[in-house]
Amino acid sequence: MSNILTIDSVSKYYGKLKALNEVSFTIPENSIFAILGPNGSGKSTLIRILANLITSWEGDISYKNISIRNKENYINNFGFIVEDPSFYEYLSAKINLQILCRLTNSPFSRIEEVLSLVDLSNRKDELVSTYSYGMKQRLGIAQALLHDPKILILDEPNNGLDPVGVNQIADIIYRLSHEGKTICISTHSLNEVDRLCSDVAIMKKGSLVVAKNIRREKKVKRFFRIETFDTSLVLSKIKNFRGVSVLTAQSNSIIVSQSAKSIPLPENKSFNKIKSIKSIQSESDLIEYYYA
Amino acid sequence: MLRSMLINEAIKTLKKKRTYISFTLLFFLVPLIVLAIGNGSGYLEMQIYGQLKDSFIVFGSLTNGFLSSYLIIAILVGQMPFLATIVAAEIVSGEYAKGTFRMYLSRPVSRYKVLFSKLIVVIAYTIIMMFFFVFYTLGISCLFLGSGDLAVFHQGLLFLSDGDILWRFFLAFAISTGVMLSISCLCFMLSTFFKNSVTPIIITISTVFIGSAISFIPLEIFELVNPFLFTGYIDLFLAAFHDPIPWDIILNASGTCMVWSLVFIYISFYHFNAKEILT
Repeated sequence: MSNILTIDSVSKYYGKLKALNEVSFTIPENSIFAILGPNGSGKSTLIRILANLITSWEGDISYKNISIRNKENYINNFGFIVEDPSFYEYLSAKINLQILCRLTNSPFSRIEEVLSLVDLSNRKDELVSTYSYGMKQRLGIAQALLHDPKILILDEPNNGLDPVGVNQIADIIYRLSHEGKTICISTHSLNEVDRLCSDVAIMKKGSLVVAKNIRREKKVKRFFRIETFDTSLVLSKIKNFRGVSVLTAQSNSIIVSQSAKSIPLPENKSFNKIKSIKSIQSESDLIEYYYA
Repeated sequence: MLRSMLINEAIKTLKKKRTYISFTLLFFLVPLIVLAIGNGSGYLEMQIYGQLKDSFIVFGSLTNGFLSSYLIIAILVGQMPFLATIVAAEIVSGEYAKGTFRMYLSRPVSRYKVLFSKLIVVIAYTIIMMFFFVFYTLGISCLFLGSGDLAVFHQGLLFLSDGDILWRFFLAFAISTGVMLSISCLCFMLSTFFKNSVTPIIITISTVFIGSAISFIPLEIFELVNPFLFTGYIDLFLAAFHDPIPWDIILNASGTCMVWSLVFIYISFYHFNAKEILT
């Protein structure tokens, strides 16, 4: 699979603060790629650079091996949702999309297509101010698709959505991926990455921690989150289990890794005898990098 | 592309309720003042021309549509900067505040063209608003009070005949619009700096207030500076009713207003083009 986007040593300073520190990774064509990281990790800054909202930065970004610095119209190939979807709320969804169609010379007939894709056709004439957050998020995807871009960049598309909304967005992302679009989502949710994505770049404090394909990798470790009433007691007990190591411990919660060869902790009788354990749940493999 | 952007900006502006505040206010206020002038014409004439009774014998009434328009424009022109800022203050800052620039500018558009289309809308709004102000006032005044000669004070009492007045209102409109455009451009420039529309309005009105104060305070330093400030020309429209018309003063004022407007526009474009959209 060839790479559609190459991020090469991209740095960005806000005064003395380094928001991005020589970040480099590639996004394969037709992948569902996640940029994962906690708040303040630089995900949104990187997306704003791609969206041409931040104009001064260092390094290089190439779209299909051509630097975006030399290709003014590269952005024609991109569709964005940057942060929350923001619209002219005093206008209807249809007029909002007409405004955006004019900027890319897209035919107005495209409006009906993208609205039906996100299931908003029957509400197109209503003011956006009457929309729920989930509907605005779907309208955000519709506006990003208006000019039929090759790559869709969605900044935290599930932020603030209820489980129904999350599923709706996931369905749309799968459908678009099947249509051949490359989709890049930024998120801080490991579950979202596990569920949706084929590739991931994990960022922390403006730097890249790791970039990898998560589907191809063979499992060598499994991860668990243990909820407990007495963290110190549980910590003292589990250090005796072979192949188990503690990743992070907080007041009522411990995250551990365990060798894939050992009996999984929830099935281990000795582990289940430890008092003060509230629950144990599997965690994403990516959590290791998250707490690195 | 520029045409498409102009259509977009026109739609965005025309669909906003605040665009119509100035027109609505003038629509109701002007007839009320005209009616008040019509009803109190005797008292008004005594106040304005009373001291001239010993020198002149006036047959009929001096109060007519032209005098009424002249007075209303003189009274309200000082308040027009407030109305001129309504659209200009919000046109850029509103997009920062609501985050719509994230959607609008992440498309293949030139920022220069985006800002230019917004500037055209601000200029068009200011011209239309001033046109409405001057000629709606004139229309309503003449409708209620009829036409006739206009008596104004300029180096004594100056009577302008019925047929010599209308073009002077067009000139008054042009002069006052020139000054209002400078005020709109100042507010437009401030709008590119701030993420709310209140701050540009406050700074613009404060600037007009301070500039007007400078033109009224008889200090040598202020008198030196005043010709170079656009704020000193807010009431220059009165010159349109002088005889002869002081064209040199009007041209100087026009030049000053134009230079200030161009400076404000240049700063707006320079700042907006490099601005990082972080909201």
